[in-house]
Amino acid sequence: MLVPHPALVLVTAVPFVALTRGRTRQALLVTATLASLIAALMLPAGDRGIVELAGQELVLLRVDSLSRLFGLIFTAMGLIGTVYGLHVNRGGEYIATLVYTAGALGVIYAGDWISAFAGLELMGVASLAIIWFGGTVRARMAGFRYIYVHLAGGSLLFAGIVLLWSRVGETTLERISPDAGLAYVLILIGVLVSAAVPPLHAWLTDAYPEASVTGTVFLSAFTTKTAVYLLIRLFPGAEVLAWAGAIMAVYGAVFAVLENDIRRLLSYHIISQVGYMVAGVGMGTVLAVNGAAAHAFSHILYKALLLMGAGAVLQATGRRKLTELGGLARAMPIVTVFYLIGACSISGVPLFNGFVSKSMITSASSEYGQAAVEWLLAVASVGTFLHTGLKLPYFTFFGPDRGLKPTRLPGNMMIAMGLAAAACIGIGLLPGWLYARLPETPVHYVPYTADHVLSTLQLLLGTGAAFWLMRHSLGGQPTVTLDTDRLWRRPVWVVVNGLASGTARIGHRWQVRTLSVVEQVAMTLRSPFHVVWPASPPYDADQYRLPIGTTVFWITVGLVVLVLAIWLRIGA
Amino acid sequence: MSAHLPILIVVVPLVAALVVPLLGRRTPGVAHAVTLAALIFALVASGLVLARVVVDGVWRYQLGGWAPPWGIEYVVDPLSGGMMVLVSFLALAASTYAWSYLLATDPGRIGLFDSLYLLLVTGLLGIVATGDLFNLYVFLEISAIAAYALLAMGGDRATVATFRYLLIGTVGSSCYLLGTGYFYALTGTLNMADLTERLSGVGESPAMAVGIGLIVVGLAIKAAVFPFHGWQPDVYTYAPPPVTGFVAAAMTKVSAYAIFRVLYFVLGGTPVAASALVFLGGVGVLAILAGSWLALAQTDIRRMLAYSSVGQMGYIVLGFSIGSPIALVGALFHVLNHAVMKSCLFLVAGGVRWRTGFSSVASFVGMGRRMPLSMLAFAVAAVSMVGLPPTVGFFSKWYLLLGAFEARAWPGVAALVVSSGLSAVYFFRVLERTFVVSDDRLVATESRELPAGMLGPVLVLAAAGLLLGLFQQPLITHVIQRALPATVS
Amino acid sequence: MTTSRLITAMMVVAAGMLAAEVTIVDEVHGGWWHGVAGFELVIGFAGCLALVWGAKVLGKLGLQRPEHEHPEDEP
Repeated sequence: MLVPHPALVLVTAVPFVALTRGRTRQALLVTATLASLIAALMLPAGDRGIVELAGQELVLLRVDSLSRLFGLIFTAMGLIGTVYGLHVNRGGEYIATLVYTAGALGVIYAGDWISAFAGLELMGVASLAIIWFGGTVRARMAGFRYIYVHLAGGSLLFAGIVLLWSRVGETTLERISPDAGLAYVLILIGVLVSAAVPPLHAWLTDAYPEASVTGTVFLSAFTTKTAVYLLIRLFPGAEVLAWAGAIMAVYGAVFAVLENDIRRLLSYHIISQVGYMVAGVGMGTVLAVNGAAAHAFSHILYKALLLMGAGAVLQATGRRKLTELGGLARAMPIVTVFYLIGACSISGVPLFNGFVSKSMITSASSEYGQAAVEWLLAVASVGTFLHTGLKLPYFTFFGPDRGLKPTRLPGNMMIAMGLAAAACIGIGLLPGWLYARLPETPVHYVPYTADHVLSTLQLLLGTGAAFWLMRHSLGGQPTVTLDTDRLWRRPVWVVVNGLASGTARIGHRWQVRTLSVVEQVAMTLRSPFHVVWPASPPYDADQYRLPIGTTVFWITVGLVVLVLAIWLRIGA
Repeated sequence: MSAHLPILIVVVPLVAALVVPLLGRRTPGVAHAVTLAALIFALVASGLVLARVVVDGVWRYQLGGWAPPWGIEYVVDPLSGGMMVLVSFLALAASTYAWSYLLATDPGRIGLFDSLYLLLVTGLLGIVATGDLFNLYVFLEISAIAAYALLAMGGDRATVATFRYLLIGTVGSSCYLLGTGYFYALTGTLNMADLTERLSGVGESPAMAVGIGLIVVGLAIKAAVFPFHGWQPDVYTYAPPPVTGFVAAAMTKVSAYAIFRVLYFVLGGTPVAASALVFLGGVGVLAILAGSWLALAQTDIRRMLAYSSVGQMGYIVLGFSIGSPIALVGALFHVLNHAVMKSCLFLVAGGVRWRTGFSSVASFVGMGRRMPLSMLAFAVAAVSMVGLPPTVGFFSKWYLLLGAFEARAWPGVAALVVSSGLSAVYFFRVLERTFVVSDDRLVATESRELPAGMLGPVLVLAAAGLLLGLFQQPLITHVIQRALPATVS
Repeated sequence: MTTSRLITAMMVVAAGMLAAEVTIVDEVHGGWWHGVAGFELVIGFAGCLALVWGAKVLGKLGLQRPEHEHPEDEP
């Protein structure tokens, strides 16, 4: 039986989604995403969808254990996210999320660089649209910054691909060795931009919180995890990644301390958790890489759950700042429970999926040999639990009641959260299901040993105690934290503004200086008696127009230069 | 009959141009039908000629049976065949658009418009088909004069802008003529193939340097290569939309074709050509950067598109300069891409202005909902200009970048990358206003979708862009690669 | 529940975990420090303090700014 590419299923649904409304559209969306999930489940192994292009073989559907794993979670996330957003009425946003998901699937199933790059570009544009659908002025500005960064990263990646192609002669998507030289570096940087590795990470924390309630859920799932997939494929065992990942993990945790906006805080935690995955890829052992893949799987689920919860709070109360929230547990009990499930997962509490995957990476880090990596990851764990498990729920759901009256939430949001929560708990209780689908099977790691469970519980308890003692000084303040993007945000704004206004000013000066020449010529032509009779009517000039004389001047210069160049070259 | 196709492709529009004004007075509908018929004939005939030439090789047709070098001959190879198809396709699309546009704005002048339009098409097809240097000048002038008249139809500002174009364009044509004169003095022949043979006998001399310099500069002026582009932004801004849509797409590309023909076929492989190409390379990099930068500062969308064209011409010229097979494929493919997509962009921009009276970038707010199909086509074309997959623009840029990389032309690579970013900025600015922004910033409150006569060509052009991208492989292997000169491939 | 009760409960659980660690766990994975009983408790507690304190210091040093200071956030 011919199983279609899951991305193709989503893309074919797009025109129908554009043309339908209401219940029909909702049913269509759920059916399409469910169908792509089934397709992902049923794909047989091997390379299919081979197309010839520019003398190269494009492999559109490469199915092995790694791409199967990612395909499964991506399509499942597509379904959950769509269900979460079913109440939204904006057709454009649905199309953007469908295309975004399809692009991500295209990248992970790609067997060659050309298809992968095409998918990445598609994802970039679609995610830009999702950010812009946030609708606010801030979303607009953040979207522009987002696309600049991604285009820059994409250009570097493109340059690297081209360089690799010219060196190796083919475009298969496979492990790149460091002796590829500049190509290695360029592709690595290009992928790291998408993975939001500091200092190239600011686009994430800048743009993700500005998208709509449903949009952010989608955004969190795909761009960074696609980058992690690429890292696993291309650079397993690259030591620089182990360090980058560890630093990243702590960086996100540190910056999150200062955050007041709950969705931005969670965005910093995306960076922190992706740091675990990057470190796992960098450490390179079978356990570490399996852990990275498993953690990506778990992260998509629990991060979506957390963001769905935060989004629900935003939707119901209209607020997203810790300084403005509190005491919602009584009014929104189900959301609180779902959120706490997500929080337990991200913190690595035993019996939830985060523990099952994160402990793989932390165990690998203790065997890695570089103690600093292990310590950094441990500190990051502390920070994660502190913010998402303690601080955020305490100040949002518990804590002093500010008398907020949350509105009722649509049922589909609850269903979506329930699905994600169930998956988190399910995998936590039955890790074997996930382990059987990891890239390098069989997996010998056992998460539920006394050692692992006890160390995790101790860490959590210690953090909890410290939190409780310090809780009053941890409340958010109405501040904005500077991040690395401020280094270039101001200069870029200055440059772009400057270019635009500078051109206007230069043009104005040209006009003023040369206007008289133009006037004379035109007046003489229009009324040849002007030379004799200056009182003939004046010429109406316009703003910054290049006078003909300038062009003819350049023609003359060009002609002389060219002739001289040729003359000298042929040695006359 | 089919043996005379090359000449008929040029003659039929010419004859139609003479017939149409007589019909136009009383029955504009019939006049336009004749115009369309002539253009359809040109398209079909070009297609047949191209098909034959791709299989059989170069087709030399001698006018009146007079053998060169005394007689004039038309030379059709895959390159000129492809260009003929492109020009007639664009002409047909713009002419269909023009009918609806003129019917609504200025129905009395349809006959005149169509006549001049056919003369313009004749001129362009002639440039592409001819194998004689002086004959090329004749057609260059025919197309230029017809273009001046057409472009000036856009109102008072258009008249002034066209007058400037006339002055600068005449300088360009004169340079070309002088250059041709030099070569005639050197070799005694005007036939391109004959010239190539005789030049190998003549040693290198200052006269040759001056001759080639004049020809290249003359054609570069016509092609609006920076810094000779001063006439272009004004002309494109004020001319009537169907004219801009055709001229912006076809005229400059035909001039670029002429540069390619002269430097690679007539003077292929000679040191003079190589030096000229180095000059063009430098100029191309400047064009790319200047065009993209200046486009950023514009508020009127037509002027923004005009400066964008300056940048895109830089891509093509850079590709010519690099000269490797991949770079040339990229340049020729970019000719195709730019012609089709720029035409679509200008036609949509003109349509928006016609409907709403506004043409600033700010006036595009909310257009996505009011003119959804036009804006969809606009978006596809804009995405192709920026160079995102799976549009044609992605592939042409890919080839150009690959060529620049392999040739280690780092300024070219840098310019291509930077301009991609800049064009993303100014195009996405428009797209964001069109599709995403909410209504409270609407400038143009009343507008509906374009009429079918204008919307049709726009959609066909946009679809062509997508299809060309998806099916670029057969196009490249069968047509474009065979269009490369023997000295290169 | 009140703070004192919570602290008491935490102490009890901590003691229980220490006891469990000492008795049940004998294999030591990774560095020597994992063998120390109650090590992770200390890490959790001290780590949290360090993290918060460190971040506050960074914030005071200049990372945190009042919300409306930046023109590049406006169109």
